Amino acid sequence: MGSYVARRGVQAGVLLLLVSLVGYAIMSLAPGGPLAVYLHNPHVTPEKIDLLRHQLGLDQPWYLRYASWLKGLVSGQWGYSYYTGRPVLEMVGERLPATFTLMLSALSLAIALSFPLGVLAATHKYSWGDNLLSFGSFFVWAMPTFWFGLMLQMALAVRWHLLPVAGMHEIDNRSVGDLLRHLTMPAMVLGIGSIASWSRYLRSGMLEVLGQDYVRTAYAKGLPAYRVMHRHVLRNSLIPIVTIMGLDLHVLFSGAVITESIFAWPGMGRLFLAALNNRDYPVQMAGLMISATLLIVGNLMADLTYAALDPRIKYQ
Amino acid sequence: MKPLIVAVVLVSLLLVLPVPRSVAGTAPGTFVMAITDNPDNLNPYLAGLAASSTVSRFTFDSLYTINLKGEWVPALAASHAVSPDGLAWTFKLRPGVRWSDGAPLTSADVKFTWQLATNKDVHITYATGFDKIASIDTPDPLTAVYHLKEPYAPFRDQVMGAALVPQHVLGPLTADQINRAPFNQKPVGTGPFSVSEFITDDHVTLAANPQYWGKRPKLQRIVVRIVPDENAQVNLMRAGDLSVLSIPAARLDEVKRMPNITIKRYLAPTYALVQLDEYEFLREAPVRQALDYATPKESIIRNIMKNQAEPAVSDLVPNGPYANKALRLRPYDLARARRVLREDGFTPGPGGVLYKGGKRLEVPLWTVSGRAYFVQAMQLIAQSWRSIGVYTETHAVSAAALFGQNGPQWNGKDEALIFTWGQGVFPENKINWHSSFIPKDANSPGENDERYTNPEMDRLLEDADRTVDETKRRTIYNRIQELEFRDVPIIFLFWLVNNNAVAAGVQGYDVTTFNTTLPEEWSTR
Repeated sequence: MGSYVARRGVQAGVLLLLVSLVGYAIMSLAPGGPLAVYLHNPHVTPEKIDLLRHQLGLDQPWYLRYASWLKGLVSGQWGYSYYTGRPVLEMVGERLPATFTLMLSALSLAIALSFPLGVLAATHKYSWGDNLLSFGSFFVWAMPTFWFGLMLQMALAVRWHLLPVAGMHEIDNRSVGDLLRHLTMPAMVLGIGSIASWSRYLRSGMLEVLGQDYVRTAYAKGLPAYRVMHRHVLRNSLIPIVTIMGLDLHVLFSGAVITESIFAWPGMGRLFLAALNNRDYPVQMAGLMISATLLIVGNLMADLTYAALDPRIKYQ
Repeated sequence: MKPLIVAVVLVSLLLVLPVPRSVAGTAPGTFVMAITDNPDNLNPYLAGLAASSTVSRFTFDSLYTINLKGEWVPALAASHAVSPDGLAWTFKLRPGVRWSDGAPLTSADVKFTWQLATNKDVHITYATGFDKIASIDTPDPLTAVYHLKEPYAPFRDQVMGAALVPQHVLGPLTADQINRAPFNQKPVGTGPFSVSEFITDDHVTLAANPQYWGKRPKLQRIVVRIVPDENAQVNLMRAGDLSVLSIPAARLDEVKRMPNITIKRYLAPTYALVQLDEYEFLREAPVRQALDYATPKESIIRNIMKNQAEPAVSDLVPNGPYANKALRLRPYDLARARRVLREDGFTPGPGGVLYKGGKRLEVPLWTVSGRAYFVQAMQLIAQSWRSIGVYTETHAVSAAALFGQNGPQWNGKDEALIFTWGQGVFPENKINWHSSFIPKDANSPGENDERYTNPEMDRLLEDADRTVDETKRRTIYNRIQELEFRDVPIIFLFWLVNNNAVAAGVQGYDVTTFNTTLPEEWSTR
């Protein structure tokens, strides 16, 4: 197992290097560039722009810039933002608490709701509850996050004044209660997509297992239903859902842009979107690397969980 | 089934019935506004985004400032005098002014600001005008004398109106340190408010500056919330969480119907234009004039902009001191357009398209995708141009593609680009019309991208820059605007109009093209 993990680690390193190279090339070759925002500003003169270009090293070809970025990365230096001049790691770091809070809440909500719903749907196959869940899942899948978030905001915050409109906390209020109130809507919006998909995957995974002979044997032995479910069925149906959860991990971290924008939640998604718009290469690359690493780590964790779940799977 | 129906009916009732307000709104003494981007840098000389200046304006002052009516009034300077040859500008500083950290404002700060703006190793983004300064004398702590390299009238708008930064904070730092200083997130200024808290992507809190040299601010603090989504901003206003909102054009009618708000409507110093890139036929003035006659500006203002726009005849704000009041818009006259083109030698060919010397009159139209009213305006203009015989195809692309090195501006022929230009209230249009600003390669932002050349215009622009006497300067700009009208280097579409919603309970806030009322006058009940 140890050598397996080590091998995967080396593969991950090579993959990340490739991702960084391709990513940097595409970013640099895209039209525009970090100075584009100044090009259309009447107050920034052509000489200023040339000077800025030189100061930021943008007059060098992209592969030389990539080499110096890589060299910096290896020595722990993630670079400085073209716009704020602040260290990239510092900018990422200050958004970590907000991002983790939202991510963990959405994750907890998703797990807490998708598992019972998936199990119930599988055990009461084709009942009205199952059909309602199917309908609900397809509705949520088809529904744009943007629309749902705004509708929720208008209903719960603007019309009924139940929850705050946006932001992470009130100006003077740092209590946990206030944080939870602000967290409710973004976590719901972010989690609901996962609830829809995970409950479906769980349902189909369970249905496959429920039809197996050993389950019928367990019932025939006289075991109570919850024992059968918990010990025999559930564990064996987790494989598809673990795959999905592993791959979804990085999305919760850096892909919640729409949710963060609507609810003005100060997370990583907004940072990277702004960096993309402004062509802030150092911050963009940081985002790409973090996202890619999380994807790889999530995938690896999913694979390792298979081994824990299914004794037939062995890694050398 | 029955309980389900009851549940559905109850939920529907809840959705339509209004609920009485339980939230009081923003606290008294706190003024809340919203911006869409995170301010990148609160040092006015290093900032790239407009959001940054929205915040830093509360913390910095300049020697003179512009009031609601567009007049220059003393701020950090008590008075100034210009030598007859226009080369020496002497400023007497207001006594007793302190920086927010307690240190006194002196002429050393004036000198340092110039040194910062011209420092080649600092990532300066705003330095216009500072390069015209040869040296600064500081004979005493309250007097600063700028010595210019040549008489330069825009000095007043560019340098006199630029923020002063503290020498005692930034002076001891190296260029690299200035680029990364904590000052950039929490500046020290002389303004009525100072940054007390900056939580990235969340909000900036500005507390009243007890050391402020002017009137004591009535507010305790200003909170600038960072809310990227316009719809969320409108929702915040509706919920009573904002004191003022810059209303997105698409939601204007709805916001107007909100209770307990007033609307402040004002002309923005930004105009929409059709840039006519002069490569072949567009180099002929009659062709450009004909296109001007054939552009349905009034229809665009009324039907597409829903009257949230004002007619534009030149590039200087119509409610400002430099606008040429004698100019009148060309009327929308298709017959006249056709006649002008006929007299210029064009004849109708296959398909009704005009030809001259075997070549057809082809002017593609381009605009930025994602801005609905531009795309609609483009279609309207194309339709009208086609009816006089111009062959035109429309394209909507991203801004980067439009203005970049692979875009039509650099690689096209007679292209017409529709976009907005935030020129501002000062007559800084040399970069638009002077032949020396025609870009030489794809990466240099010349700004005279339409490649307009006119020796008389060049001379007038140079004279205007050298003429410090206001009356004479206005005469020159009148002539410049006459040339803009006659030669049609670009087609002026309209001036943008902004609408701000102000919550009931906010007093002392007003806004015009030139500025807002002084922030120290704002208050909330």
